[in-house]
Amino acid sequence: MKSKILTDTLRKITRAKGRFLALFGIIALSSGFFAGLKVTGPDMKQSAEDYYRKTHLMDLHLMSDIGFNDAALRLLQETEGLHAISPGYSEAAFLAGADDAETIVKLYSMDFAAVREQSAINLPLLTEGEWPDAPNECLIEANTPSRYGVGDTLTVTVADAETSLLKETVFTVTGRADWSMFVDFNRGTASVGDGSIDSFLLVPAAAFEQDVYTDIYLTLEETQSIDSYSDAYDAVIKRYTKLFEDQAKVYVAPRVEQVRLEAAELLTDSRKELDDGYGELEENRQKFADEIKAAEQKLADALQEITDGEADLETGQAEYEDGLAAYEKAVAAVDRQDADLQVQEAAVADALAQLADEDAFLARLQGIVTAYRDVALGVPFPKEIQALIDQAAAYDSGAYSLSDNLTAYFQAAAGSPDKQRMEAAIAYYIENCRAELTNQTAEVKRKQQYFADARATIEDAKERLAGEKTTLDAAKSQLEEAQRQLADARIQYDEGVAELAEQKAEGEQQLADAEQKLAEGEAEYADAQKEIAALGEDTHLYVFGRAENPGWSSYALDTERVDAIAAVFPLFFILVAALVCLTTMTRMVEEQRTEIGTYRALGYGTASISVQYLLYAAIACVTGVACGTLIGYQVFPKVIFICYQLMYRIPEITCPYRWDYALGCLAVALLCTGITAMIACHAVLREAPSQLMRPKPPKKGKRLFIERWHFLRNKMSFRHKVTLRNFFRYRSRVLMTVIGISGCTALLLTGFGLYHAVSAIVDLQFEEVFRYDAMIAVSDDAVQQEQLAAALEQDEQVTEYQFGLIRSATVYGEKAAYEINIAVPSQPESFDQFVLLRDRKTHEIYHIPADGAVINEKLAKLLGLSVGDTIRPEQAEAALTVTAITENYAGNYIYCTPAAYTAMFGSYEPNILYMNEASGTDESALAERLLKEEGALAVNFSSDGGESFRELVGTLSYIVILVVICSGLLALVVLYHLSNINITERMRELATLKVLGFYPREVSAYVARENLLSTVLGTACGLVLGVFLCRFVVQTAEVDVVMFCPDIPVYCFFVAAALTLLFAMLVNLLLRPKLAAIDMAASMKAIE
Amino acid sequence: MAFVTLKDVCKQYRMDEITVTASDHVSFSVEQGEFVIVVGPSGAGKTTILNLLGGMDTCDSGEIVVDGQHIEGMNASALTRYRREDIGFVFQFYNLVQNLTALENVELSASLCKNAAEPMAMLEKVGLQDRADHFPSQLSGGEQQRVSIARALCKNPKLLLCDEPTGALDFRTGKAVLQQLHDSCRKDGMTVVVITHNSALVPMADRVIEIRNSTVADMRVQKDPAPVADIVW
Repeated sequence: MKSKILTDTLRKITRAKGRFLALFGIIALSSGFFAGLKVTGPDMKQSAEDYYRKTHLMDLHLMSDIGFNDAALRLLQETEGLHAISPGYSEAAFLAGADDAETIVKLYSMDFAAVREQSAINLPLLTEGEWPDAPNECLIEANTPSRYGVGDTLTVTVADAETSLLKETVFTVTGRADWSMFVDFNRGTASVGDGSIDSFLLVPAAAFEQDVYTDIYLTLEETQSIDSYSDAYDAVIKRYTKLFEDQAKVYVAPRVEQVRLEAAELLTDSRKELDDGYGELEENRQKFADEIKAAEQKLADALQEITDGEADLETGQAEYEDGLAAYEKAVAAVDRQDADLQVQEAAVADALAQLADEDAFLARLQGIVTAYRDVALGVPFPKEIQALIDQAAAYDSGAYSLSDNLTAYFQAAAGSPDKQRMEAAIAYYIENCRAELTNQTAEVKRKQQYFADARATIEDAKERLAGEKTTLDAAKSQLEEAQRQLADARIQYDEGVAELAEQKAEGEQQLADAEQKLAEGEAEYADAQKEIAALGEDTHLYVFGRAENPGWSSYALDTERVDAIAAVFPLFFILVAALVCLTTMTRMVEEQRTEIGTYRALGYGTASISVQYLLYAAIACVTGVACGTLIGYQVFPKVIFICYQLMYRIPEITCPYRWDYALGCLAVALLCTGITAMIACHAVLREAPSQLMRPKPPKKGKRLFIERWHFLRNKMSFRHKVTLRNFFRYRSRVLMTVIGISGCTALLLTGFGLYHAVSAIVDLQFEEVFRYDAMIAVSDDAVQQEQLAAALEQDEQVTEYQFGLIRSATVYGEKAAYEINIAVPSQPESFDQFVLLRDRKTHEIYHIPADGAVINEKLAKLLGLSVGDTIRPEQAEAALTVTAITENYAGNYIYCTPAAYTAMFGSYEPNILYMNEASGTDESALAERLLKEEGALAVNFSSDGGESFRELVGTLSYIVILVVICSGLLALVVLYHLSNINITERMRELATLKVLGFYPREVSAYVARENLLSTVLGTACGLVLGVFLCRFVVQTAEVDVVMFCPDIPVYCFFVAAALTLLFAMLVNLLLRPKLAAIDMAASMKAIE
Repeated sequence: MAFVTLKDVCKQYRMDEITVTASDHVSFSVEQGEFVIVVGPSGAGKTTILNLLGGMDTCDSGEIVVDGQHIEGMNASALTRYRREDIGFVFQFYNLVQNLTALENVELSASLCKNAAEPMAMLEKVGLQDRADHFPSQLSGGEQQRVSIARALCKNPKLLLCDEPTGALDFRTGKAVLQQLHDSCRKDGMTVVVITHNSALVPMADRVIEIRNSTVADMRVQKDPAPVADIVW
């Protein structure tokens, strides 16, 4: 009997394959989707756990300010509960080479002997090459600059040669490895360079100076059997962390003692140095004072000399003046005498001339008289005679009556007595006159002699005066010379004074400086003294767990993010699947009421009849769940893991078959189908068998409320009326269709929305927000920066540039600490050429305020900040007021001015340079040109920055395709299944329509219209639902340093709606043959 | 030539390995305006004849001619047109569209052909003008069957095919329905073919075709058919 029921059940399956396949399909699809997504998170976590276990990842990592020595290590080894302990060395250094400026690598020592035995803590996994042997060999990793491969040589430059522990700096690469210490691509921070470590190198311990360990790694006995992402693990780690921290003093003590001894020695030295310095200072001070004194004396002497010289000069001047006056007086007197003499000399000369005249007259008279002795002259006398007589009258004043005598003489006849007498009188006169003339001439001659003497005297005086004059002139020029010399001396003196003042000031400054330096040295000494005194107090033991390894915690968070998505996405599937199962089973039971009636009439109990349907449901559930989970468990974790491998270096994923979820799915599926079957059976079985044999009355027709509106009623054709009325008549089925379709649309919209949310940020970030074309890391040397600026100024392809500072900092939120960037442009007013600060929605442009900060949206959200709140990075001395919240997608930024930055951190030194280039620039040529400048350390072009991000986005499209396929399947299954039921239920009506003469297309339109209406309604609901679903998924998928674009673009709505409608039309197409196959004879049959 | 002629019509149904002969050389003819009753026991092949005549199925061999049209060779589309324009169907279980009112059910049919009668007038003819806005579930069986007749007649078909029209009705309403069919035959000259297993109806027919074992056992013309009122079963 039972076996007959089984046979009947199996027949039911094979007879109505479509129904069973639909049931099976929906169960397989939803359980696969649900279970597949659900196990993805745990699978990923488990894979990581396996990786950690296999590589003996340390549980605790101890560090101290001053390292550990062997004594400390021995102490630690005695700790109870340790599984293994391994000391090591590490140091950050620069990777040397032209292109590797600012590439920071951290070298970790590794005991490769233990590694070969697979027993080492933090075992690396070799992916290529061989293990290193020699101290100068190393392993590289995924992050190592791609120029280095196995067999290459690389050189590192230590940051501080004095404190460096490295013995080797040139390494040969023997292989490449993954290291479970770093599961993502973040390599932690260091105190060298820009602070961010780019990659690590694994080297043998022999590459280090091996006297002080920098790190000690431990594994614990208790954690060997515990998963590390569990609370139990946390508890153990917390306990041991506390244990070590409580005993910190004990563990650091041996090393402290060692350091104290070394330091004390150093301190003694520096005391001596300081004391020497004091002595030297005193000496210098004395020497300086002496020098100044000597110089001052010399200047005073010079001044005295000048004063004396000036007095002498004055005396000389006066003497000269006196001499000159006397000289001029003498000259005047001589001149006067000279003039007098000249008058008298002229008088003498006149007298001499008169005397000569008289003499000549006398001579002529005598001659004429003689001539006329024999001649008597009548009157009038000849003219010569008359002139003589007139002359005689003038010469003789009468005393000698000469003229009368002469007249008489000439008149008298020759030899007459008168004539003789007259001749005698005349002769007499001549004689007298001659005598007198001789007397007079003698007198005049004597006078002349006198005057000649006087002239000689005067000439002498004149000569003497001329001599005096020459002397005076010489004296004058001497005086002038002396004056000039004095003026020069004065100037020299003034200069000397100024010079002295300068020297004095300088010397004093030097002394002050020396004193200052000594004071500083003294302070330092005091500090060092204090430090040594406090060495025990201030030396910390740092205890790190795995959670402090970069990426370790975020990997767990990211897998949980998958869980969150897994919680929402499949919900629709479950819901729809449940609804589908529900209708299928109900429909099936109702279709077979006659048969059930017959079974009952034949005497079968209700139980055995119910069992039949339960069996049917169970077969569908078991096969569906088995098939779904088998596929889902593999596909979903693997696809998603591949995407995550872009962010994490976890070598492989294992996908075990997880019975819990499979059994859970089975339980839910059985519950949905089984309980429905039970309820439906129960309802049917309650009726009397006789009633069951009779046809169930058809559902009543009803007028719709909207038909009350007459205009609508008149407008609608009754075919549309039928559609609408059916739509409301089969409410539950329509509801199910709407839910299914809306789920499909919502999933599609979410898929596309998520894709857009991630893909859009690449362009938004690198085209719109970050407008600069390149960012150059610059050296901190101001001169080199200026040279670089000059080079940029001249380069035609560089359009704009600006120096700036970017550094990372930590800010604390309520829940966690966040690594953020502080960006400080040197010229905030023109910063929008390089980075555009704006509101994401309104596109209002912000400027960096003078005393506040602009922060990005994601950071504001993480910290719960809004405009007006304050933000204070770790170690900042001041807090900044947030004045605006700006659009930004990748990374978190605080933007502030140099002044505000200085207020926080004390000083502002640019370390980068933003640059824009002309369009069509050959970037590699530009980079080469720029890197020739010493000031440019590295050039990063924005065009490269977006690339890696784009790759990440590319993988997301797989997930979107996955979602689209699943959604499409969902839509197809739901629509097909429900339409199928619809057709089966209304077989009679459709057959009648065919008999009445409906063409096939009219029949399918009759059914399709209803489907289309519910599809449209479902799509509309789905679009609304999708907005929320998409928002949730996008928010869940976001990590701390990224903000996805939360807006869904319009095209996504169109595509989601169009795809849904496409699926609906596909279903309508699929239904056509089904409709065509309806037998018209069915219309004749009695109602079943 | 007669209005409807069937000549050596054969039809076999194959179900897996069993072959069932439903019509075996069926031949008969019907004149225009006749009231024809096809009578026979269950399983005799009456419905097959109805299906073939109504264009719902095709025969394997033989000829079916309705008003000069050969139906036997028609394709699916032509058959649909034939059903749509030339045939009126009355079903045993009325087969009204539950979601349409009486009037709308008639309109549904009227919309299918060009020279359809005014639906309301049709309802008046079957005496249901007052119930035009009622849904099938609000009508009695007889009323539903009358709506069904109005639906069939409003297309002005050449042939009215009725499959056990009284099968689901009680005696009185069944008679009223028969009267209705008879009236449309007599008053409008409609050719009516009624298929029934109830031989009590035979006296009212102009022509009686008896089917037994998938073939025509007897066909007779009754010169003086009894009025419907006299029919008793």
